[in-house]
Amino acid sequence: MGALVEERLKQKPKLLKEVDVPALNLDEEVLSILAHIDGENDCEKLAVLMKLSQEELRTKLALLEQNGVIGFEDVAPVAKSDAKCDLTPDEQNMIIAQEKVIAEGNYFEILDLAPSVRGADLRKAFLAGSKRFHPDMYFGRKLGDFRKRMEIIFRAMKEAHDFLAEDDQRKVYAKKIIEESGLDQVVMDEVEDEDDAESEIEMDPERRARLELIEAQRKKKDERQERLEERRRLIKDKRRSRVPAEGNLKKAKDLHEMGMEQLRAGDLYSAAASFKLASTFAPHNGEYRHQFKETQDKAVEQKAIGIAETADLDSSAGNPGQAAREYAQASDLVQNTERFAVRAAEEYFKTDDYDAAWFYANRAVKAAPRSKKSRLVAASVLEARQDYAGALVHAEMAQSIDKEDANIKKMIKRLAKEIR
Amino acid sequence: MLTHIIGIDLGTTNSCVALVDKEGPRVLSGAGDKRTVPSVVALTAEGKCIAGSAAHEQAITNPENTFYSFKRLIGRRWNSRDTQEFADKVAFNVSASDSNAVEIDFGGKKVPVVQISAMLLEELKSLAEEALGEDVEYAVVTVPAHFNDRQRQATRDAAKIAGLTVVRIINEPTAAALAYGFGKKLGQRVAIYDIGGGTFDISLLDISDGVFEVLATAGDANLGGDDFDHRIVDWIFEEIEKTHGVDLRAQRDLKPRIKQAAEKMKVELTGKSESNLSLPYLAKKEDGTFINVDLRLNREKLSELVEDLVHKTIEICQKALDAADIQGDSIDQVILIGGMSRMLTIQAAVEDFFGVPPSKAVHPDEAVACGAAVQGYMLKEGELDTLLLDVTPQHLGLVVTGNKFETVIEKDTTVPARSRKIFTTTRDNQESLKFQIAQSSDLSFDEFESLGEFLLPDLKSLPAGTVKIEVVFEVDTDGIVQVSATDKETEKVQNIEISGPGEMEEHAVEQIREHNRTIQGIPVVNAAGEVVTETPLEPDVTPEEPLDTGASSEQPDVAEKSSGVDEVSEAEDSTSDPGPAEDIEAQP
Repeated sequence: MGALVEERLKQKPKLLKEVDVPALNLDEEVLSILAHIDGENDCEKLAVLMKLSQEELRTKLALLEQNGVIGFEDVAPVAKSDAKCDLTPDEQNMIIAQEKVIAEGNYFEILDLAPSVRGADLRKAFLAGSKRFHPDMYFGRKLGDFRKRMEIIFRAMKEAHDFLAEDDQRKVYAKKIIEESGLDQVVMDEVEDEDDAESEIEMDPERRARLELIEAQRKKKDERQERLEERRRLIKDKRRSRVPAEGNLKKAKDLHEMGMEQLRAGDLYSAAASFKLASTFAPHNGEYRHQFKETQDKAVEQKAIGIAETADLDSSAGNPGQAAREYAQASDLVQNTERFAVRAAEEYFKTDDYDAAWFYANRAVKAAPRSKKSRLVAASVLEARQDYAGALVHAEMAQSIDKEDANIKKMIKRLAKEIR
Repeated sequence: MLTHIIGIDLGTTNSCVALVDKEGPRVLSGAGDKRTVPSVVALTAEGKCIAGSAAHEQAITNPENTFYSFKRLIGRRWNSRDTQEFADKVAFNVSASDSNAVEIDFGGKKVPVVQISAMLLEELKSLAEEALGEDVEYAVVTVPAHFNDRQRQATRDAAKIAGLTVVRIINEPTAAALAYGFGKKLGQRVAIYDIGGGTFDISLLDISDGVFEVLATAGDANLGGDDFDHRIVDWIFEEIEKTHGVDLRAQRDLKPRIKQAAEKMKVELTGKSESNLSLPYLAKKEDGTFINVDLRLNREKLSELVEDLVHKTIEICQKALDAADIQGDSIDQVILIGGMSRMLTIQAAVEDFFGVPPSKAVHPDEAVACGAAVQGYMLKEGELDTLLLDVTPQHLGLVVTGNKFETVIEKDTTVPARSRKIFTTTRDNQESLKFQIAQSSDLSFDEFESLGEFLLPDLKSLPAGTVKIEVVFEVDTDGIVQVSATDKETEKVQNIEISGPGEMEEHAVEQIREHNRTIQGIPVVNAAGEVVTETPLEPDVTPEEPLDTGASSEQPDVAEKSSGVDEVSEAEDSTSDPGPAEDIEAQP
């Protein structure tokens, strides 16, 4: 709360002319403060002159300001205190200061947190903030227009909390903030290292014990799983290291040749099947196995490309619903590339199915985080879903890839406005 | 500053009053140290109006004029399925008011349900005043979590008639959580399973750092102890038919006696594994001989009779977990409240589902009233550093093309809440848009209830879909819903405030109060009572006994006010007309 007033230390209070001072019935001390306000003395100097602590002076000046007696240079006088409001000047200042943070600050600042914050601290900050700004905390008092203003603050804090509560989202957002502010690498590492270090401050002991039990069981299960896999690997390796019988080797060789022929003929699926069989007859031969994998991937990709071609036709024929489903099918076949996912998202976007669009846009971003196209699609979809903060994260990523794109600039402006 | 704020649990079967002061929460008990009051109102043969224990005690001898379970009717529409089902089950007569609300046949006169409810509240108020030795004016009143805006408003109105100012309406399970967590240092997630006489609710809350945050609520408006009783009642009738060959279901006057017997068996079976029923001379057969009933019911049979009811509650628990997006095993504590929670079958089913044995930390019949009092205390004493973050009870939105409900603020959104959406026209050159504001408890059924409506006129002549109207919904902590629509083209704005304290006109309240005070013989009820349920106040109606000399000069005022109400009711009536509502559609 102090911040706003503190920056006034160097400011010079001025008497506002239209005020009828005698009518205000001020006490002597306040009157003598008024006598020292000549437009030249700044707050710091006034405190010295009046032999008052800065804190005391601050309170007195705040009161005068609210009653419209004085104003500060370059600072619009605080709205005349509302007769329907009986909040103390301190409380009013606290609210006004927080309004400023909400207008200008990011989600972390709204909750007065560092970008490296962890889940439990985030919640603590939100709860503490709620207890300061929720109108119920001032029940029975006249709040005037401060009621609505507190409601706005509370909702902004709730929004910030809900946004940051999603770990992945928070980390992306934190990185962005840190990059912007030019903080050093250490802070960045903190954000990244945080993963499993969910802090357990004041957790209910019973709950912690249960969580620990669950964790222990999970570990046990994981270990069991690992041992099983190890054994499987051993068996496999043994099989592979054993040179198979002459007959099987011959069979494998024939199958491989057949596969090569099918490959040349462009029948990828049959080729993959042949290589697989060859690999089973000659498990020690890494070449066969490798070829099987490679051919299979190619076959699936080919199929996906075929589907996508049909989708292209549907798309240009003005049938986005059909196209979207086909691109989605292609993308489901080959998930680790952005090209089908982006198209699926774009087509779903056209049909206003933003949930589906988001699913594929998200996949595109995961497959190609440094692609302008996928970032833009994600931003557009989120914007349509009115998740402006999320959209802004992606739009700004897109901008970091292409700084010149005017459309992105426009979009960022628009989103920033929406958020405000 | 406010004096005491009492907490009132206005239950279906029993009610309870409590207060929190420096020593903590305590139940305000009446004469005879009874800690809960039966939610019963009656009109005696002498024409006297009684409420609470006295009314309960004479129920058997005066079935037609004893009114119970009326909470199931408050704020409800007559033509709803629930109302009809209920009307079939009870011994007293109910009918429709002009405005499609429910009225109860009260000694030959039709009385709105709020008025009956007010009589009970008045009894509770005077009980509290007796216990405290001073006047009580403020109260926090609880309602089931699934109560909609109409039902909450009606509850507020009933309290107002009884001379109480409701500072806050909170949900019963939330109140129980407050009673549980108040004064403790906790960091827990709790589930409150509330099964009372008429309703079932489940709420999930996070309690940490003195903040009680409601995460999700779910419930069934028509699932409670009564339904369990009716299962036993049905079984008794069945058994009688089996042994005596007579179907006694049609004999209405037998119902209270059998219902009471069923209730007793149910209660007995929480302690004993078997319960006996003996109803000698229950009825006369056609041949003049008497029907003597002797039956035996054991726990297993009871579990079997109600198995599907219990299962239904568990399904609703899962729904709440899904809504809060949390797993069952992340719940640290389960609190059972409501009379029915004593049933062992229910306790076992809940433990099975959440994997935690139910907490015994709160009293199942008193926790809600105590929690309501806690909320009153928290509000009153600003310095306690505790806060309740409550949520919207239902989805709020607009009715759009095709009579579909379009959500703007979702259920379980923390209040104060605000949300906006863009809507547009569906016809070329559309001149105006009618906004019908509605609430919905369950989107999957596409059912909604209209809350009010307003018109945004003078739109620019433009093709369909090009006019952009921004609609903003706001709900504050008092549950007041404000809706505004702004034409982005012309910057024209229209507002509506849907509900809130003080909705009912002071004059109408005073009239009903006066009637309740003067009830002697046949109660005096007239159209004024219906104002509560949104029918026009007729200008020719004045109180039977003028309140003061200024009463006659107030008359023109009444007429003026009535025209205002008239408009509202006109709008209400036309909500069934889907016409203009077709002209609006949601836009992404």
